Amino acid sequence: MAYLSKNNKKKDNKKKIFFFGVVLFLIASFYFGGLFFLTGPLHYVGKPLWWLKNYSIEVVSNISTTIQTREKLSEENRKLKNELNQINSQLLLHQLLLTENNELKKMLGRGDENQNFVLANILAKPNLSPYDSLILDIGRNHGIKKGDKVVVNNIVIGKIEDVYLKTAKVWLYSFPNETLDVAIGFDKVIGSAEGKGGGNFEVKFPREVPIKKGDVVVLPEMDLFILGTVESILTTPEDSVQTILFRIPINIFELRWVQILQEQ
Amino acid sequence: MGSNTSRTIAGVLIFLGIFILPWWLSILLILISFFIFELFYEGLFFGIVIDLLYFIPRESFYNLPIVFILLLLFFLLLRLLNKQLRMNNVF
Repeated sequence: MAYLSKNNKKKDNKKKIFFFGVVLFLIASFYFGGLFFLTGPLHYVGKPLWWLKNYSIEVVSNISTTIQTREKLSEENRKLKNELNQINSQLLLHQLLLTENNELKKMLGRGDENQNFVLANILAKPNLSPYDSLILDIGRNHGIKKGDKVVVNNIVIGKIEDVYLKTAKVWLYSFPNETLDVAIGFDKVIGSAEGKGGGNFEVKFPREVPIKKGDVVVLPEMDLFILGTVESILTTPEDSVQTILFRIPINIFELRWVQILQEQ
Repeated sequence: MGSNTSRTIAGVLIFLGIFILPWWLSILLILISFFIFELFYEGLFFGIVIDLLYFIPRESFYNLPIVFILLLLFFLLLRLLNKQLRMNNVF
């Protein structure tokens, strides 16, 4: 039988102490944010890879569109034209209401004229990130600041969490187990929504609160930007509360661009 | 192909995968490498890379790098199991 010599045991113990020391140091560095100076350089390394990945996905999707049959494409074209006509008429009404809303706000001294949008390309989406975050291709070089809201058209999806020289990390509001104040429906009923990941949320209200499927959910401080629409309401006769499930009305996994709302 | 060469190739592929593949696939590749290669410390390094790239400190995770900690626990568990199996072989 082979026995470890005393020297070998000492060496083994030293190795173990060193290993656990390094591990503790790393966890503490993460906890206190000491290691995040490396994130910028890592994003710099990843940028061409992310770009290459997104570009190749685009090429493949273009090829698959090209090899679709002519009939299929013309049918799809007709459908899309119909949809576009419907949306255009809705858009006119929307623009009218938006102008009226802004005018009324100005009259009340609450105008939003100091807003500026910056367009950003998404480098990494939640399918790459285990933390439901986005990585954008602009950072301090475009004046992005921590806390700036991230929107897609008039839908708000998250806010800037970390800013580096040429990249920025976005915290999506649907981050699992995170709570967020929301206002639901025409009456703007205020509640605390819990993120469920991938653009989904859950919020609980007493049964008496009148909420229906399709109601619009907004952030209390940004009522012109939609956070989501009510998808389903879960309740049982014994329950005194109703569980509202709502989701962001776009697919985060298919997003390519976002706008960053900079407020001066 | 030598063990060191395949280990290096696996390391490079996993590193590239962190930027390209879905996160669960990258983690799965790291876990498989823990089984294939002895003392695959690189796997822990890749855990740190994933956390540095995508981690957002949140109270629900106690501000801790979850991927690194989970990989570390798996690494230690595997070491422990390995030792136990060797002990059983000896006696």
